[in-house]
Amino acid sequence: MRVLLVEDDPVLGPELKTELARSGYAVDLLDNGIDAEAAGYEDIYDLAVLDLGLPQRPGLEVLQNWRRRHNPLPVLILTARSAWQERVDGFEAGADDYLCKPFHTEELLARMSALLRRVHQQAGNVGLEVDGLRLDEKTQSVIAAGAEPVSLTGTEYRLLRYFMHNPGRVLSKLQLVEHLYDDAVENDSNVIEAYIKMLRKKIGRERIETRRGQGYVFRP
Amino acid sequence: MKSIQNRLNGAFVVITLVLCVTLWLSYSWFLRQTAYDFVSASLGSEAYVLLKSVEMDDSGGWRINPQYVAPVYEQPMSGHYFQFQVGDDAEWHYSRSLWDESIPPNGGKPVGDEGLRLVYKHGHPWLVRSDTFTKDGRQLRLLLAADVSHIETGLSRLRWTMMAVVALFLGIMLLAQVLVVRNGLRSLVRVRGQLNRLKQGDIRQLPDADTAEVEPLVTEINYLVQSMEMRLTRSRNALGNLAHAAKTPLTVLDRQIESLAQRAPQQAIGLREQSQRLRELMERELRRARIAGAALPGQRIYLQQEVDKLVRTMRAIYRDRDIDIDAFVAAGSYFPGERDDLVELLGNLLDNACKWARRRVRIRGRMDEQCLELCVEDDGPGIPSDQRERLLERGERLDESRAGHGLGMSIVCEIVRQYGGRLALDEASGGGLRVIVMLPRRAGLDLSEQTPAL
Repeated sequence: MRVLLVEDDPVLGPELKTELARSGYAVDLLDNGIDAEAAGYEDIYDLAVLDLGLPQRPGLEVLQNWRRRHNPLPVLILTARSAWQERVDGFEAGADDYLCKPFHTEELLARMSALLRRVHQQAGNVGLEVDGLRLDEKTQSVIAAGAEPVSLTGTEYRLLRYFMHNPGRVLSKLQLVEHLYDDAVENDSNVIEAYIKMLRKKIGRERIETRRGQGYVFRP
Repeated sequence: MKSIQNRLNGAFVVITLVLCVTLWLSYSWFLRQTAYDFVSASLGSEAYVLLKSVEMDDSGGWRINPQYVAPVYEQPMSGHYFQFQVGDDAEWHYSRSLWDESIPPNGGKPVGDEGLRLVYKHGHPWLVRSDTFTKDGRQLRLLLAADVSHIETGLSRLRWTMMAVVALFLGIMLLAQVLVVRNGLRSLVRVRGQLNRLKQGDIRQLPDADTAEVEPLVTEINYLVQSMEMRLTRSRNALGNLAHAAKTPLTVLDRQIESLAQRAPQQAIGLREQSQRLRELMERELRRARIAGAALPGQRIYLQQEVDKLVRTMRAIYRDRDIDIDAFVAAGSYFPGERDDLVELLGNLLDNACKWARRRVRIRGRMDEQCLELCVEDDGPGIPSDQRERLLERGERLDESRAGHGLGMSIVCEIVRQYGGRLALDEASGGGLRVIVMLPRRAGLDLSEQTPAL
């Protein structure tokens, strides 16, 4: 899952980025409204965490512009503005969720995964579960029905989560790379093959199907 | 309260009356004087005729040759009289018209010059002229009198005529004046009506005035309305910026406290508590400072619109909870205040209701002559009656496990208080909490007698 984090505070931004990355998100951090708006149009983000008080272009305007151009990117507003009028304005502009500062990281993470599940029309409010396979977001491990939890490495966890959010969809290697790594990481799409091989060992071969020349499908 | 119209009309009547009386007095003085001069002149010429007709009779006495005398002096009480005295002889000779009267040789009120006197004889004003001539070496003193009642009658008739004319004139002028003044004040009256509409929120600005005297007033009021709106927006923006500026570092601080907590839990507890207090304090004060507490002129906030937006927002926030939110707002109801205050008030009430509701939240709104009434109820566990009072009094948080209830309620209390409204909590039909808010439609209305209709 790749997240566009827009936060202009020089301390909070990098810190949040580190924490989100620790929770298995690939994070691109931007600190102004104009860059953020442009980045939002790239079809590589699964979620945007948007501050409202941004330099150059207010966050609300960025969001309105995205929605006006039919950009469906799920947006969680993270702001210090807590008046109800401001919240109403946020939702009316097209936000999917609204979290007021100060906040706890757990709350932000819970809201983010709830939002991702909602966007991918997946029910449940504890964790991600597809066809008897449950992903524990806290311990970054996978639990098959009736089996012991199997812990995953960071990349395996990210890969599996992306698959589980998009069950039945054909995902190309490039797509997987784009949603698993942020801009800072140099990537070779060939490493994906290696990670898929390891993931198959942990959750069973039949779960991930290879479509030659197209990519992979996570079977629900 | 004085009325400009009445003052203008009163001043006009007084000035016109003073003017008319002065005019009348000077006019009648002139007329009378002219008439007297005229009579005096004719008496003077009569005197010469009489002088000529005075002659000595056979017995050595003096008499008037009736041949020369005008017949009017022969007619008794004709209004034209004379008498004369020759030399040192004390005897007066009288005209026949005097009958057995005489002209007083002295006294009376001197009028004009040439020894003219006004004497009252049996209620009739006589103008008396005395002349002294020398005839045949003897001194001849001649008194001539004319009854001038006809002049006084004429003047008196003139006075009444003039009074009637003045009254008529005054009436017409007053009518004209009233029309002119009313016409002149029409733009003020119009502005008064427009100000009412501005207060009601029918119009956002006063339209330009067509009178030079009223124009600056209208411009000034428009400027005030604008600057009030701008000031509120500015202060809200400043508060928003302050919130942003203060809360972001507070978030960073909190995160550092959390990371400290993992290494040294004991040290972190105190810090966490203080940061929590600081956060709550700031949140409360910032929210309180945002309350405008009064309607801005030129704005009408329709309840339905704001409720619709809030319901959409609540549905988005509580999307996962599957709560039915129904809103019934009487058509045309509007909030007698400022938009952000309404949204803050309803937002907090709805948020609380959604937090506690099991399945259902209902909002109702209606408006009557006196007040706007809002009612928010949920089907949650409700609050026991003894604790409701506490919640109202101190905005106390009753259940610490679900954040925000207390703060939200204290903001609601504060907004209702600033608008001079009433807030009541009771039990909804399904057992949940029902909150009823009544806000007066005009400042200063007392709602303590009003009973909630919802």
